[in-house]
Amino acid sequence: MSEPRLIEISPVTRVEGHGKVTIHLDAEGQVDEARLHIVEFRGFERFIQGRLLWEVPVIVQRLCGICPVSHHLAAAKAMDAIVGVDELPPTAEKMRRLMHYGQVMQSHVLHFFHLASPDLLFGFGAPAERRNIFEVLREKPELGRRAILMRKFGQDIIEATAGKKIHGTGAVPGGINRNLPIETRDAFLAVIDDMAAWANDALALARDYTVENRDAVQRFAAFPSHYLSLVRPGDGALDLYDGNLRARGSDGSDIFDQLDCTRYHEVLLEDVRAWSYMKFPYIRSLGPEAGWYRVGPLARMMTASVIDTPRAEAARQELLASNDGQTQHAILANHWARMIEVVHCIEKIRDLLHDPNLQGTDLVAKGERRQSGIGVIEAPRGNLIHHYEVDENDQVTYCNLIVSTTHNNEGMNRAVKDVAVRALSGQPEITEGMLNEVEVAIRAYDPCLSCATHALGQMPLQVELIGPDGAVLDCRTKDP
Amino acid sequence: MMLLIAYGNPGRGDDGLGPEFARRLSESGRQGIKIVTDFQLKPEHAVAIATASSVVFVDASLTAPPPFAFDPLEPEERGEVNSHRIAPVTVLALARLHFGATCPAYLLAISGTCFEHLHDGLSPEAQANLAKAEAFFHTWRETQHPVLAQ
Repeated sequence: MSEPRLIEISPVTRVEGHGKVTIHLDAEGQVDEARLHIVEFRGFERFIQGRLLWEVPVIVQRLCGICPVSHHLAAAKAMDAIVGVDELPPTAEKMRRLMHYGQVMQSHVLHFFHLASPDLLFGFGAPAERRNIFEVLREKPELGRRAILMRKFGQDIIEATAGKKIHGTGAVPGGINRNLPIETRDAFLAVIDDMAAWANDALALARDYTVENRDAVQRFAAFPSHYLSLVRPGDGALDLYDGNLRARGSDGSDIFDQLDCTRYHEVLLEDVRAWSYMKFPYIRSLGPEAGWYRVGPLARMMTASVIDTPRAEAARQELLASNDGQTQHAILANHWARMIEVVHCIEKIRDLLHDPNLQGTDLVAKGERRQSGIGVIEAPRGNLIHHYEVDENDQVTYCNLIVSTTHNNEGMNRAVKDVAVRALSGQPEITEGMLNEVEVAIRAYDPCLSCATHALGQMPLQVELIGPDGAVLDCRTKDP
Repeated sequence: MMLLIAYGNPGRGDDGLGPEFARRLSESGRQGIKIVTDFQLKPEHAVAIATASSVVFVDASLTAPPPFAFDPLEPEERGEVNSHRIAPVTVLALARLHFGATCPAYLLAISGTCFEHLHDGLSPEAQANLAKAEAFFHTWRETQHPVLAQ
């Protein structure tokens, strides 16, 4: 009989940030437990205390280098509430929406083309040297070129609306500090047809993969869960920038619907587990065991009643039909959902660019000062909640953030366990392809693990095999 | 025109060495350099590299010997591409592969010591290393472009 073993994968490669996976095998070589440990930086909520309210939308961008716009806008929405503004001037809301659609599309493009495509095109079990973005680019050079230009398009929209690509200052409490000049608008319109065509091609690629590999997709880390997102007031349409909260059960029924975001703490609680720095949110009425849920692109496809842009809605209907109209729980369908959102964002960007309100000059509204504010947005990775309280000196006294990756914490852990049991249990040896399957499951959630620092020399890949007495039986390290 | 891409998160202490280098260079009024500042390297920086005569990446480093290291780079078609982590050699490879870029490239890696705590400002060691890196860069540039460096 062999001894129980512990396999560590630290950090996870091709995931944004720093994480560690431990897979515990029992004496028979069966997977006993699998966990995703996230070294999440939780000091920000304290760091922000004492800052002036108008500084917050700028400072929070330092939370993360890859989705600063999401934090910028969520914080700005919370500060809108604090300065007493419930309705922005049309120019301000549309400029913010333009910024957000640019952010979401460029984030999704990077994930799909550069992070996920090697797995999807070559398979999880392919040799490591094959599962490389440059292998994809050599086979499909146009794909890589388009990905870069689509990213640049999104980044340029962010720069035009936020003022800068980093530490943007566009959104201010109560509005926006700029409009969109005609010449900038025309530059975006000149390439929007290319963006739309390339997005449709990418959508087809994601759809074809999911349909052609239906059995594998349905088997891979697929398990039922509840879903949560913002939806548009009234018709429940997909809305990435604003709306009310909707939670749908694994069977597609509503758990709660059209709940005002300011009441999030009435329906969501966060569980704490000793082995993880990151909390485990759940729906209060269902409890921690049954109430966990997922957020993100696939969740949004499952919660939305409709998408208000035609090509994206047609694609969503196709996604729903691919599972006979049942709730889709296959995590790899996230890639398809992500590309539907890219199509949606480009459709929305095109509509906004034709809207003369973007050249308006009424940029900021004012209202009666309040003590607290809650801003909620659908970030690329899912629902994002910012909650602040300020004192009479305009200084922040309280901050609570629930980021998308935290919402998905339980789902990612279950995905790791699901894949580990199937791929690793009872196997005579642990191959790199098997370990990669675990990482693929995590990557499908597109988690951002909040490293927000990247200095040269950091983040090697370390794999440790540890025996029951704590001794390291094996260790492999891959340089960054 | 020379392209200088400086990157890092100023909210993470010495990780802000790159942006601070760029800020000081920009304020010094040096001509003939296009400066790009960002949180981190991104694939789309390949687009700017495609039209540059040369490119210098400036980043904080945990492994460079103090005060800094300055080395030429060649494109390498290896490594991963994600938005937190992409190596300069990988960006160069993307620029070559997609846009035909062949310009000479260098990495200025400035040694830092304090990255873990969420705070603004450089450590005393990083400030000293930054000053030496700046002095070196200006001298080096004079040898590259003696007129523009005035």
